[in-house]
Amino acid sequence: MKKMLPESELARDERFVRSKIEDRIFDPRGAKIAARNTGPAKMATDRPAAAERSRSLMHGIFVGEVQALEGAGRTCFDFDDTEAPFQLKLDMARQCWDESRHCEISIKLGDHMGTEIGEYTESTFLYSAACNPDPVLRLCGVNRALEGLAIDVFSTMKEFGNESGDPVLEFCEDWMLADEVTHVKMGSDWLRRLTDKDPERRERALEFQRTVDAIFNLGGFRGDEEENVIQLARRFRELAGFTEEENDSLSALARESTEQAREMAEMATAALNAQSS
Amino acid sequence: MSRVTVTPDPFTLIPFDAPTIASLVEDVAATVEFPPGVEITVEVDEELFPPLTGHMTDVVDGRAVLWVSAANLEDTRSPRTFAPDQARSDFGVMLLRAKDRLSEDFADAPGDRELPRGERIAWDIYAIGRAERLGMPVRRQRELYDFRLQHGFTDVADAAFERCWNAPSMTYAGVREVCKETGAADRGPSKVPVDILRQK
Amino acid sequence: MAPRPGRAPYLTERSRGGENAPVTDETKPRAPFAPWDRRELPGLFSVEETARRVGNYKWAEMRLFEVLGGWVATVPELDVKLVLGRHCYHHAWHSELWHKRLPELREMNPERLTVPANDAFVTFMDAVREPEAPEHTIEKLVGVYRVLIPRFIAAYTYHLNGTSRITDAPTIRSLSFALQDEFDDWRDGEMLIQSLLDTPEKIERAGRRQEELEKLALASGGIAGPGSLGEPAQEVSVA
Repeated sequence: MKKMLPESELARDERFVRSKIEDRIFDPRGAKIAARNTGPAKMATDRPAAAERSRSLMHGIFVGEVQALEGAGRTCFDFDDTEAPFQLKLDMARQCWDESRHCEISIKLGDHMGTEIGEYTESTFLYSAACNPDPVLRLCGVNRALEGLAIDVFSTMKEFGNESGDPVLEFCEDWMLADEVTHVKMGSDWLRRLTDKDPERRERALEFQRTVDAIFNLGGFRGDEEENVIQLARRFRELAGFTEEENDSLSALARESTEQAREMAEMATAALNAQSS
Repeated sequence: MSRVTVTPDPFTLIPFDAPTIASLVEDVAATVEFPPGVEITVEVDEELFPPLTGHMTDVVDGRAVLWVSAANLEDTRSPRTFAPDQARSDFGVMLLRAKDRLSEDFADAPGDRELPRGERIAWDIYAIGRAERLGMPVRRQRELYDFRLQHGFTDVADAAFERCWNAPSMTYAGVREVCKETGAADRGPSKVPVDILRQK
Repeated sequence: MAPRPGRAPYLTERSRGGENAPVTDETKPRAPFAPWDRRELPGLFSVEETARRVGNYKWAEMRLFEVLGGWVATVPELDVKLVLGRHCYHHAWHSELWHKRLPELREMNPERLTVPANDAFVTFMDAVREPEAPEHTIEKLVGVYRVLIPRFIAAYTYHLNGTSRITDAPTIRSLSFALQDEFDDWRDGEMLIQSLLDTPEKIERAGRRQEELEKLALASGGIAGPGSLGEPAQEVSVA
């Protein structure tokens, strides 16, 4: 079996439909929606389409967990003993188990919400972050950036479970949140250990992490404000080993992305107004 | 001449076909035994994509006025593709509610823009249960989750869901009774207008 | 119990017949081994031999967990994906148990003994790990659950039964934990295989794959090479 499996070769059954990022970027409705007030994006029961949004997000979590499982599994296989220490691979195997469990939990939560597997499309961007040929960059991209995002997502869903009085959702998200803190710590620990004498490699890894972080802030998806779908979970991030500086930096990055999204919305509105006048 | 009018015609952002939708609505109207003399106006908001779903049903000057997000009619697995089965179910629910509005049972019901979320979902469930019995594809667990979000994750709420789903007939007073029973009536007013998706 | 004529009277000092004596005799200190504790000192393996086998076990468990993890992304069946993810950890944990045991067996450099039993075993493991295509789920699972894991069960059981229950208790403990997983994983895998073999053609595929790998395993002698299961028992004349 070859090393480094590209995302195009991820195996799926017939229920899964791969989405292309271009489909969303070039959707002509995007600019129109950006110019409208569709209410705060933060998950709550009195937001428009609350049920559909939570179902859609839960399915996104599910496919993300599948890809996280696949990414951790590939890290066990792709590197020999000189490229990745034995203990690192043990941590990745542990992560396989955890992500496998998260898939099971997400499937059950999907059942609870009335979602079917494959009901929504799948973007394989998460897995692509796990394809980096340098194990340190891979761990930064996956375990720090993406698992950090998972902390934010699960914290948001846990809050939604609490707000909506859904004991199942709140319970499950809290258990998954605990695991994600462990995964981020794995990433932080290995970054430190493997780049202790290699500051250049460390900087490359952190830059890769920032790139991945930025992509998931796009369009104001994540941030500290009501208009962000996913809220930054500072307290859990601190438990996971992110420094205050890192959290502040991510918050600033998120604000920047939210502002950019607002500006694009204003530009879109202006363009539409100009068209109709 | 069809009594069903669909806008926009033509669609400009997504390849939906107004005549196809009109024909589907006619067909569903026959299935639910919608009064034949009543005109049906359908406004599809083609700017809205999943997960921004929603629909509203009112009767204005004796006409059924249906507003629906294009997200409701779109195949979530194939962006911008019309999903006829899904559309059939949603239009079935809308027309059943329109039928309710035309009847004495719901004569005192406010317009959908004024309807609190708890009342709205209870009424929807009453319509969806009937739609299922008329052979339209519906997903019960999905509807139960939607109901629970507004009425609570409790045995009382689940029992109320069953009654709404199985009810052969119901009135607006009955809907309000359900909300009192589950506590949905005690929830404060929504911070976000229920028709925010409809506003442009 | 009176000794039989012409035979050594007792197997050990403890078998003198006093084992049915009262447990407590208030005038005497308690024996260090309770009457029901029948463990004896001798075992089949020296420290060095145990370390050699443990190193082989570690190497094999490592190769197994790596490929289970690698396969997750290559199998389209969702239930198989999730099971492989779980089992990947089980075998990684076993390799960690063996990794920790080696220094306790006087091997301060565990990497030195983390080796395959022989080249033939490498050939066998490479063959087990070889399938990649999404259509080859049957081949992947048969290799692991009908050929490799039964060999782990066999080698571990032989070791568990043969080693000294007193001097090598730590290895026995790890073997017991590992065997629990091996049996559970074997069952999970076998059930998945049975559910996938829904046509005669697929059964033939599974059979061919198993045969191919069994022959390679035979050539290697097993997880710890020849002697993985000891030598076959010989009939001994009692005359």
